[in-house]
Amino acid sequence: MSQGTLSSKLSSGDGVSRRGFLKLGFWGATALTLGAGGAGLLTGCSGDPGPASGFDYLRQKDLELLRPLMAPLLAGGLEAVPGAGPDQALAAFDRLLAGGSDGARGQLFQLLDLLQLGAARWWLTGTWAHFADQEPTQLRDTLQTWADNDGGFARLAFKGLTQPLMMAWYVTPEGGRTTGYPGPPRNLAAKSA
Amino acid sequence: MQDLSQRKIQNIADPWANADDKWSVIDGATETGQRTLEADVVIIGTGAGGGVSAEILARRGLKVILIEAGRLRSSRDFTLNEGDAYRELYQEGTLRATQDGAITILQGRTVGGTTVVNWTSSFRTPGETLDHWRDRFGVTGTARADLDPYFQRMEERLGVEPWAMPPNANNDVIKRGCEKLGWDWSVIPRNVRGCWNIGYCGMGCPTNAKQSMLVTTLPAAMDAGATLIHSARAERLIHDGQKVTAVEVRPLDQRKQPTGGLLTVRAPTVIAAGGGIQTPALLLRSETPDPREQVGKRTFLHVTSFAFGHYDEEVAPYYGAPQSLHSDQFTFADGVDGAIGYKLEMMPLHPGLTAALLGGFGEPARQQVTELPRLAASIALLRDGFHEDSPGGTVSLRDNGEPQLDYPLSDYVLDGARRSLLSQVEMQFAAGARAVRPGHTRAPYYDSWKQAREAMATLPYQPLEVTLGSAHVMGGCAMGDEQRGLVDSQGRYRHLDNLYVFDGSVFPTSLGVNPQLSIYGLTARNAQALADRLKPA
Repeated sequence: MSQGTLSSKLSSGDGVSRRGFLKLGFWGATALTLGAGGAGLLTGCSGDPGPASGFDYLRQKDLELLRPLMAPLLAGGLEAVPGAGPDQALAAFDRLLAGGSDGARGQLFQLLDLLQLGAARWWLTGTWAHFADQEPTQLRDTLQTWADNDGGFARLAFKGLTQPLMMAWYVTPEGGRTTGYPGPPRNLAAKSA
Repeated sequence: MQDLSQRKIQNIADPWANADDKWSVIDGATETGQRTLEADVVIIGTGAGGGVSAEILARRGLKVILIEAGRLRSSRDFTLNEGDAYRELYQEGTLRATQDGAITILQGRTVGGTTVVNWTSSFRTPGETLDHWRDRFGVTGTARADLDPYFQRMEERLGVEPWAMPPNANNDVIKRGCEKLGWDWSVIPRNVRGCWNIGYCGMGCPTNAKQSMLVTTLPAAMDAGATLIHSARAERLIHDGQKVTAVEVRPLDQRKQPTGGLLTVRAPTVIAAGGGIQTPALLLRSETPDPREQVGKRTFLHVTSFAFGHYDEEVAPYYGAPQSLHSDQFTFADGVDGAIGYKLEMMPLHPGLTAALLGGFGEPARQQVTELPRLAASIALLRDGFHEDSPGGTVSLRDNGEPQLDYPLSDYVLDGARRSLLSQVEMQFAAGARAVRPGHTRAPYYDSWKQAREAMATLPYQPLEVTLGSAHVMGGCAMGDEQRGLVDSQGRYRHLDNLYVFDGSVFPTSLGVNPQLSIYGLTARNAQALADRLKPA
């Protein structure tokens, strides 16, 4: 499956213009070292489907990539909120992205695109398999291997992905209260944004 | 257990409540066509520099137009929820970081700029810093004695006084730790009037006690006839190589996307006051004359390191005045231009920022974040830019014209990070912490200063290993003499006749103190001089 995913990405890569190449930026330049298929994927020129239903920024493929990571990442943080699941955390992440600029979001999406590549996952986490194809215990090991990877790029990618995901959950009022924080005073003049 | 969640805030006077009725306010989100506006002075940015400039110039009787990329939000809008605050009031949410991702940057993006979200610490620029600017960069007329009257004027204007109430438990760490170690410490002057001591300075003060530009200079300028255009990004300065003739402004919708409209603002005098990063970016987009290619160079952060102390008693680091005590034990310990010095302060902790700074994932991260009520967080502000090995960073433009900051972390800065972490860990153990963890991805909580000191000797002090952030951006359009300064000591851009830079980007180095009062004082001096030239009283 994972091998197939990469192959299909490789074969679906549309022609990459020179300008597209030049605009790849940091993550894209890294993808080049993983093969031209990565670069084709990252240009988004094969027709970006746009945000997933109910989301402003995250795309369906991002949700599929990130959903399995949320439980091992947040550990008890999700369970502490009654009824909360990975999709609530992903919705919080989508809200966090609303604060970003196009450029900042663009870099994050380049990273998410990169993580669609089996080769990139292998390089960063030592595991080729898509996150959705890993068991929860295996995902914990995957994240730990990634966190322990002392390559400069691996550190950047780990922080670049996990820091906003963690922050997004804990800036929500319900997530924040699970830390022991009682919450802010009530500004009666303010409408909840 | 401290719990302010049921405390009600109501009946707060909001100067912006009837803004549309009494003042000239243009919401960029409603601007979809093209039109031209004219003024005597156009000011780009409404933070510390723009706010002070606007008040002085508008009160002199000059027609002022202010341009602000952020949306107008006031105490009626401040929900005090972290997520709302970061999304609505900060640059790039909290996703702004240096190019290699190693330093997270917190900067305001709203009417009033960073003054709306800062933690109110108000220090005069250290004399050592001002003397260094004179000696190394040929800055003139900014000795401490020259600026003191302007600092005093702004302190009076903004209610700056040493905090008279007891510090919260988080800040008390400075007092206990420094007293035990025999280190310097003192009380922080804050720009507040009638502060409720609740701790939400970073999310927009809901009681309007903080004397930010939003509730002081900007309303005064509006009363004097200024026009505010908010949700509108100054795209570029239109110039002929000699003078700026107009500012091209792109109105933005609620999602910060261009509405398609275009505003052209014409004025014989133009003030750039977007702050470090934004002002250099505007000049780069405008391709202003810059024969020595200085724009955006020597941009400085107070690179900031962190340490977390775990205490037996409740700390409640989310409540109470966020910064009230500080230590200058190490600020100039090796002289002004020796090994990098650092100022010790505390920072408030709310859940989202705490989770981000603690880092990690899974059970250990969850365990640490749920200790929040008993955590204290110290910070060290590294005084970058004074040594020849500390050139700081460079602002450049992304393909879409947004700024980005490349800030390579030299061994000089990383050595400062290491020493500053040791100082903080030592201080927190001296203050009675049960366990202390330096902000470093590989560091656990240590149980004693002895254990910590030994273990910290083996940590790698590398970018993305050491947790670093910054809330202070300075430089990038430095003042100095003809050879070294992009602007002169009065803030006039040397290569365009009618362009002035009145913000933190004119500082030739970082400061060694939280920047707001330095920007207020210098801007008051320079804007006053400009007003005297444009329209003698």
